[in-house]
Amino acid sequence: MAACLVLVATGTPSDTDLISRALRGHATALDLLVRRHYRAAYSIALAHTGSRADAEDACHDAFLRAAERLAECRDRGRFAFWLGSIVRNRARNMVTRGILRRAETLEPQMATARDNPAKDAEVAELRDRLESALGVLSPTQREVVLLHDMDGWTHSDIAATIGTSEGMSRQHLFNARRRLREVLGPNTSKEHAHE
Amino acid sequence: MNENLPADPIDLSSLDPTRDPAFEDRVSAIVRSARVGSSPPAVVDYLSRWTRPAIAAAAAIALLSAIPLLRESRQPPPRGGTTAEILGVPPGLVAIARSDRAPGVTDLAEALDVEATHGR
Repeated sequence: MAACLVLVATGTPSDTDLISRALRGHATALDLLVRRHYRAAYSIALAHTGSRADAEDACHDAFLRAAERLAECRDRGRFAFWLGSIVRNRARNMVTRGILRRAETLEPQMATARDNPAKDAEVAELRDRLESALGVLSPTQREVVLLHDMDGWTHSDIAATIGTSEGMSRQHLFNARRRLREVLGPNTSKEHAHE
Repeated sequence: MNENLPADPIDLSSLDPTRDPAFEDRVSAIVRSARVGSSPPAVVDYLSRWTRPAIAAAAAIALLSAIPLLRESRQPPPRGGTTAEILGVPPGLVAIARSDRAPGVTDLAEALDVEATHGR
């Protein structure tokens, strides 16, 4: 509780601060670290496994691995990149070893958690269409479009994490969006989605 | 080319794992199962810890071994040879240089020829 109050009192703590606290045994710090980086980790995992269920498994394993090796993260300000490499390796290993769950049905929890069944069905359908459409992209294109359009990463950061130039990152994004629009149809931009 | 890039991002919010009602459970499961800092350090990390001490030890050894060399270099050069001999000037040329008369082409050729013969 005290740790939580300290974290709240200090505003938005940096990754460096959270890692130091997590290494001292503060579960709240680890909780915040996981929440902060889960979407990006999931994006990378989804890009390489191609399915939500496998991406969740890869994320779970990768976060546990990262927690075990947290002391080895030398440049704590670049934790996101360090974690990203762990997630990427874990997801690729799952694909290589063929230990994927693949086309698993939606978990019951997801289908019943909302009040509006019609809306739930609509969201589930869109999610399935997006997942299917992402399948036409290469893993790198998926990683770029997910990190950029879902988690708001800059091209500079994407280039650093996938080991390419900013120009190539932009090119991957352009190609990925074009292919996705071809598969999904025109009404897929954020403006249309919220109408 | 950027002018032709589609500006609108694709709406991927339905794939956002943090909007999933199961997200809280997933975070809790990770935090509950995590054993922070429990992994033994990798061999590379273990070795990297010794990098600085190893470099410091190597520098100390290099310094200690350089002291005798510095002392040696301060001593005067050993006597017993002329400057021309130390520099490797052919003896024939030295003799010509020491003589009072101007050397002819034949003298120079002989001096150099003798040296070339010695060289072989």
